[in-house]
Amino acid sequence: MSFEAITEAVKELEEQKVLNLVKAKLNNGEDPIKVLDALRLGMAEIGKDSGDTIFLTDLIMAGEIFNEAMEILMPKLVSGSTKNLGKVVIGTVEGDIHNIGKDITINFLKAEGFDVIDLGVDVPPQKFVDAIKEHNPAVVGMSGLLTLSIEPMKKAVEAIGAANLRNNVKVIIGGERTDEEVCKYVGADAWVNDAIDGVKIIKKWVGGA
Amino acid sequence: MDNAEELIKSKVERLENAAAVKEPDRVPIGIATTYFPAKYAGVSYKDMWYDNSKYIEVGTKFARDFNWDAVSLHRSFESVPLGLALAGTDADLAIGAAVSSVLGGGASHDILGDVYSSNPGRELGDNIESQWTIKKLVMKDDEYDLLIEKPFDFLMGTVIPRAYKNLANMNSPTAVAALLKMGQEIAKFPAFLMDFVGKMKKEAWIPWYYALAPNPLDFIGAFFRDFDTLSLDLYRMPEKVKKACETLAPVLAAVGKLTGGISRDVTGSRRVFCPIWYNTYLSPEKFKEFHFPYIKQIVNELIEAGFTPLMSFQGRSDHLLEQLKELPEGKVIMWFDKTDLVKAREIMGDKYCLAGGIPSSLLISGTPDKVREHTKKLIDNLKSGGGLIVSTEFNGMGDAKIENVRALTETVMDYGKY
Repeated sequence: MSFEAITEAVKELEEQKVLNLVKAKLNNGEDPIKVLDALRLGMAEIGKDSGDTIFLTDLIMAGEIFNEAMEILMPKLVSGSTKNLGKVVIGTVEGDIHNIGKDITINFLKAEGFDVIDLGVDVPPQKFVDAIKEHNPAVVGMSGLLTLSIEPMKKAVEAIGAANLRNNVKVIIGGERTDEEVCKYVGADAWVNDAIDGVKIIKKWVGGA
Repeated sequence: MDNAEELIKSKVERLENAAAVKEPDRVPIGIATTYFPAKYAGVSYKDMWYDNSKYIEVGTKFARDFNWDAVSLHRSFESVPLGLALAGTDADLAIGAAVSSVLGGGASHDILGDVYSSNPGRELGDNIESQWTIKKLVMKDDEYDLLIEKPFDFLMGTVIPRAYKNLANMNSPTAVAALLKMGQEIAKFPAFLMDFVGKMKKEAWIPWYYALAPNPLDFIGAFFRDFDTLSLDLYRMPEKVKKACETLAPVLAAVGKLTGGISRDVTGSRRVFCPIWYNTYLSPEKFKEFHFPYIKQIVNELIEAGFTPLMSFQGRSDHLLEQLKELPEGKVIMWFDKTDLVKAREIMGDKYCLAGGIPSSLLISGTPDKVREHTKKLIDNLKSGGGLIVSTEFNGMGDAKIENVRALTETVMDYGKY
């Protein structure tokens, strides 16, 4: 039984198979780091066969599988033994209470080895500023499902600028209604409609890909 | 407006021609927007939601000043499950209960204490848009069979007490009081409806839609499970999801026909709003398996009964265009949010009426010149042969700049002539 089987099962979103394989590996006394790497590789390969077109319902299933596998794996992992690509502060902007896009992104960021600070939903600009001061992240992610999120995104970016922190972080905005126009208007460095694209951009920024 | 009746007639004709893919006299403009008209009239979102006289004030001012071919200013959907639970018992009462939130405003949210909605002036600030997220699962993992076997018992016995905090215990004074108050609201509704429609008609108003036919998968995701859990259900219990959709499809088609009849009689519009939501998030395979068969079933029933399904494909549907060609040509309006209309026309051919083309982001962050340029290009690309209605993303222009909306309107009125 190879580690590739785990990667393949994650890629195919076969929940029970992944969990059984992970348990079997650990019971055999295999290195949990290798199991984790196999899981991460599977997460990174989801959608590759279909030309990188991945749909949210599939991503939700993938995130669920990864989290369930991590629950099994976590007690076996010694802290500090896994790779760390850096810190990302992320939140859904003020006035918007939708969490799905943000949570999916967090799952995939974690799967890539980022340390994620989740500010939750309805996050006021000052909370982004405070989190940057406290955690010194490389990247700030702002999520918003609705057009009503555009103005709050702009305000949050402005608040980061007013606190003289704008040059310390890259800002990426994500959500259904974002596009190039919105990105410029808000003053962000990048925009995405898709969590996986977001993770790719963030990886590029921190030199992880 | 002096010639309101004639204007209404010409608008109905323009929209019906466009829907049937015949060239009307001008490209029509039809939009659903709740918040922009409130902002334009200087009324808070809270008042738009809770104050019916302000709602009428907003609607009439907007209809008068912009004179679009069709506009809808719907509010919310909190009471829809209560209406549906009554559908097998008393159709009129069911409709009354359902539309008391859709058209009647936020009162039912306050009365019922639903787990769905966060409203302006209540859970949210006075000028924040209402948002829909299920805060507590209404249907558990192992309850699909109950829904499939006895849908109305399940709705009344299980869904209602969980969906509405104030109906949690039907034997309690709280629940009886809530139901009596709902009764009072429903009783007030016909007078409000006639008042609203009467005053709006004087402004030559036609609704973009005034009738509703939800589809089963979205309905389950919006009212029973929630987005995440239903997404997982598609993997973990696909057969149960499909059975539940089969159970709900005829009921929801009946809702469409019933509300469609009211709309036709009261407003003259035969369009029935068919909101489609999961499409963006489903692979073409999953759309084909879980979503589209039931949508087609409902749409075909509506067409047979003489209605025009206004299919609101929310988000993006670029990956589904090949499949959408299975819908009958010239009988439905395909209203797209972010889907590229030119690509849609290319793939689907020129026998479908397409609505959309104006991104919310353009109206919010663009300039009047950019809006004019974009709108002209849209009309140039798609006007030929009829079958184009200019629209925006579903209820997505709350923060639009007034000068941009004016530029959009003027461009359609002038440049859209055939």
